[in-house]
Amino acid sequence: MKEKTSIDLFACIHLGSERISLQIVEFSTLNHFKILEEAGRNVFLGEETFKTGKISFGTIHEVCELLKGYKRIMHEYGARHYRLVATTAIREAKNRQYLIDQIFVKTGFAVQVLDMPQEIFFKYAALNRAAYDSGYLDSKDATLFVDISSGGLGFILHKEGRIDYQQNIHIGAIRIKESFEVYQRDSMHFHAALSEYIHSIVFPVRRELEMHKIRFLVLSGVEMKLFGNMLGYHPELSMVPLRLADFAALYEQVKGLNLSQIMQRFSLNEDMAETVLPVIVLCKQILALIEVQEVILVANKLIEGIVAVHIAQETGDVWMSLLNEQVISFARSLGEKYHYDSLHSGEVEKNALLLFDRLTKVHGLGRRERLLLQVACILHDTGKHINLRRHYAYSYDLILSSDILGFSDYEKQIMATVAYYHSRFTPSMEDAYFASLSDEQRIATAKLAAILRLADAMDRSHQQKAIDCQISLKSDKLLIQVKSNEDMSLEEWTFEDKADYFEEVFGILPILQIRVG
Amino acid sequence: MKKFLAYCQYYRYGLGDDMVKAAGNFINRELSWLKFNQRVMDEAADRSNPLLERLKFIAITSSNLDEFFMVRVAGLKHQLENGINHQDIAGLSVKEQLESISEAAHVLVRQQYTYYKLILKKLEKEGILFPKIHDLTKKEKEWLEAYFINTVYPVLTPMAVDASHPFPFVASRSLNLAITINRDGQETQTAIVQVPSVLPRLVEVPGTRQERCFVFLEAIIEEYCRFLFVGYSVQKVFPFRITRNADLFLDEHDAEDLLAELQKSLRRRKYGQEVRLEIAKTMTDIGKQFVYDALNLTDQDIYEVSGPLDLTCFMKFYDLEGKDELRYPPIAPQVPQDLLDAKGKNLFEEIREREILLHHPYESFEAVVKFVQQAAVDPRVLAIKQTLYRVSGQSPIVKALAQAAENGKQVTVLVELKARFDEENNIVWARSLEEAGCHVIYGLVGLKTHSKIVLVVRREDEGIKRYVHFGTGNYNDATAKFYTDMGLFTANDQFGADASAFFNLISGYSDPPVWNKIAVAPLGLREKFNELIDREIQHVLDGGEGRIVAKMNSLVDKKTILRLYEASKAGVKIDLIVRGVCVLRPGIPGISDNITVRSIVGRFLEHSRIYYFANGGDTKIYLSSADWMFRNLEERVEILFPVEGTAHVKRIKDYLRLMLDDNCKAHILKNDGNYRPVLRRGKAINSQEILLKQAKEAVEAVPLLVKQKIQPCVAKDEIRV
Repeated sequence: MKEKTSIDLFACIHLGSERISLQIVEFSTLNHFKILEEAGRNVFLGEETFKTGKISFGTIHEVCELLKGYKRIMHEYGARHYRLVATTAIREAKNRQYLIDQIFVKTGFAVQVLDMPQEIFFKYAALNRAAYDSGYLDSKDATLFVDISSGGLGFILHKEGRIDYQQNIHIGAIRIKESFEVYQRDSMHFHAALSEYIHSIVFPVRRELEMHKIRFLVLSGVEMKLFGNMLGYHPELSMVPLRLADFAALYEQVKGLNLSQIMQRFSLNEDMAETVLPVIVLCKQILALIEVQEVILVANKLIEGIVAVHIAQETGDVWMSLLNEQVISFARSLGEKYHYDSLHSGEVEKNALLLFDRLTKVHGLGRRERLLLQVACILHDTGKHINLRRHYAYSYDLILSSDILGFSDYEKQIMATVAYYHSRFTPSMEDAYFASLSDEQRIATAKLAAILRLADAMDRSHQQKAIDCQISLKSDKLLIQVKSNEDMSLEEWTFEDKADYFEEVFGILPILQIRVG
Repeated sequence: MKKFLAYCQYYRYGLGDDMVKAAGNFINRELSWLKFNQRVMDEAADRSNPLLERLKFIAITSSNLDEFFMVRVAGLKHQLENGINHQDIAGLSVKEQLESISEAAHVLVRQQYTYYKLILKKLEKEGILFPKIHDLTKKEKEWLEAYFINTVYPVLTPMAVDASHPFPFVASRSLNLAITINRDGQETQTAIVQVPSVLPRLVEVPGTRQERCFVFLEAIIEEYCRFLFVGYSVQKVFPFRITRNADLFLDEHDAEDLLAELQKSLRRRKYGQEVRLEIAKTMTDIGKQFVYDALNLTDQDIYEVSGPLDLTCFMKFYDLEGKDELRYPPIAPQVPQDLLDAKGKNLFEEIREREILLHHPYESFEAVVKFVQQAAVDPRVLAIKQTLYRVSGQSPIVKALAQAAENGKQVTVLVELKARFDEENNIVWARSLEEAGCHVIYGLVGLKTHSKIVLVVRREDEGIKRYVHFGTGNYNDATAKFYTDMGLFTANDQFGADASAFFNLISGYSDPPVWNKIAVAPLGLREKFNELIDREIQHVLDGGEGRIVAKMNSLVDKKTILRLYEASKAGVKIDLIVRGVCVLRPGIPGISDNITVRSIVGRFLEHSRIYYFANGGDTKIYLSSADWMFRNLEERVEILFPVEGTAHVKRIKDYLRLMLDDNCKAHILKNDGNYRPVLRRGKAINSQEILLKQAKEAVEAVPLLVKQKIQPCVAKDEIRV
């Protein structure tokens, strides 16, 4: 039988700090996609934000004109689905709400501001996609990804299909540049000062990294291409191995040059030269953090990650589950950091997902919410690391204040609130935790919390007594049958207690039946 | 050993850098241009050309000269007036250039009128007469008088010149009559009458003769102008014509609306600084003085001609009904050879199967028009993007683009408002495209968009497909009938991506990308040419051979010429086919002795730009909208695109070979800057005629089956599912 292939179009626009870019792709599967159009213009949004804290309306007006052009291009291909994301420059602009509104009014585009963990996730996704074939991820040894963007540094430690460590630091190429005045940058001591400054900020990462044996260091970011050019490497390749000796030589060379000399020596324009210097110092400091065997430079783009993730989601590609696995693995490593009861969390996670999947038609939530539930299950008890009393509140705090790779602040609020309501209280508008959410967040939170509460109740004793769980839905009753060789009275009582809220949310009464197995 | 010698040769001359740059190694641009116009005019003297064609060459010479004065001479004069008198590449100061131009142009014009009279004499034998009015019969005169009173008189506006009426501002290139009149015993007065441009310049006098009889409009006015000045007697009538500076002074950077700014500037152009005065030899000294006094001109700007002024009128006269034997037999538009077995298939299907090379006018331009027309109605087409520089009056392409927009396609058109002498025309249809819903871009600030490209985006079963046409000439179906140009249709993805990126660039949506195949001026085209020339040098240094054949309209860019000199020194064999201006001086020992330059001027205007590099056997051929001129490489948006198909490479190679073998219409540029006709040995080779024949034969070689003939030409894809 001939395989049915439907061709879809997707447009992605990135409002970056240094560049606004567009990519339109045509795809049938993740392995069969073609870039139809790539356009991009360099801008100075980052400089404005880092310098003045705002982006002027004059600038936004120009951005809108460009976006109108991109809209036109999308029409030319008949591309209807799109994602327009903004990163640091817009994210950190004090007037971001007004900017986003202006963009919507003038162009009809809805801007989505990516939070740092999301941005890193997409970049990681792009890298993961690129590294997939090149073998950098196969090794038993760890690979450290360091993404250098204009506004931040993202560290991801990958080992055997898991993400063991993730940390975002708010120093990036443009931000560094704007942190110093022109006269400072011109000073003979700038170089040394910059090194010390970066060292002080990057240092805390070191302790964590020292615990791992790292074989590959993958340095990514838009400046890497420029960087590769300065090293005389082939500019067309997307992944270039960096010879440490070359880097050392380049570093020594750049160290002794002032800005105009750098511009001359490497034929760069002023903006490029000003940005590339901090990047080189950053790389030097990162290389000094740890001992690695191989370094790879990757000029990756956020847009590529977003496109890959979109296609994977749309086509239900296994790669997406693989990525989600890694996101979850990172949530687990976060749990370990707070000494969670992994067996209990695992049991809750298992039961919650079982319930979620069985109730698909009842709750009407999607894959993404399932992931939120899963992470909420993993982290729901982490607050106990702080204090056993009111631990749910500390769980809430921990989730909310951790960078969780792949999730926006919006999603973290849902996960944190779900965790908050796993134990004593139930969602209510009188409760500030719940009331502060948006309508959509509240609905998702209530449903997920109802499920988590049941799942948690089923392992109230933290002893994983239940085996072989069967779930059946009959009109307004949800029958959960488990077998156990142990006494499950505690679970039964707790379950009954928590069933009320479940019924309140779904109109279905859950019943736990325990049979001796 | 050979390699070693090559190095020695190269570096020996390489040391004398200043020697290469010496002024003597270049030819003055303006004088070279006049030489070109001379070659055009020589076609008027070529007895193998039909008579009306010869007359048309006279007209072309005139119209070329007009433009030359309006632009080039005006520019030099402007420089001089602003105190700029620096030397050109050939070491001539502005003043010296103006003097040399005047001298050469005077010689040219004298010769032109000699040829002109010769042709008129021959036309008489063919039954076409241009008699003086007093030689006409009474009846004919009566008809003329009636014509004057009924048709001419109403559109005449005499303007008196006296103390209270200063010399009127006569429009550039208009033909005027200075008429002296007086009333008994009173002082002589002068009036100016413009010969109306709305009426035909040559008026056919009906009659019973066998011959056809034509009278110049100004002669009719001269004869009957007494009707204008009732109560006065007409004494003398002197025709004169003024040519003015036609440059538009546009401040693009401050222009909020380029369109409005250009319109304002166009109104100013009619009244620019005068640069040339043409008068009839018959003019008396008093008459001359009268006109001179009113103008800011010197003797070198004044051209006294022995015949009618402004011979451009014969351009229209050429189309005279009947008399086909006095013209070239018309060319039948031939189906391009790459489309011969198209069998009514959709053009897009054809292009998807293979790249299609077009050679106009030998092969019909219709394919290009059809391409846009089909795109406009094809339901699968999503978008059309095109650059337009000069288009014809009722351009079917413009119409198709408007239709496409009305059909809901996304249409983007870059209209170059600044295309010289087409500005007014362009504003009109640019507006009409906008009204139809096209997205119109009015050029770029500071750059003229000269590139010729169409991009069609189509949604097909396999996904989005892009179709591109690149050309060397304008999307102008009228000029495509007598300009030689080449074009390429392709559905190659890399060309498609380049085309998209190109339009994004000129629309301001994107920074310049890394191109897959094309090169674009002013962002790297020069570098690309440098690379290609240097590679030929390298081939010689490596012990191989280097060879370049380049065909273009003008060769003016100093840097490129110096590079060609370097290549010549190294031993690269270079043959240049430059139709017009060439400031490269061939045959200088040790500098350009490996370079030959020839010019082909014939029935068709050579317009294609072809760049051939032997590349040690792996031939690279490029076509382009750009000449090797500074303005093309630095001040315009141009595209250079490769032709890669084996058959196409061979075809173009054969074509270049043919042009290099032409011994009928080719002139060789000599070291002294003069051109001489190519010596004819053996059988005559007229490259244009041969190509014409070949195109015809190619079509005849593929007879259509009856079944194919009766197949309706319907695009299959148009049927909606």
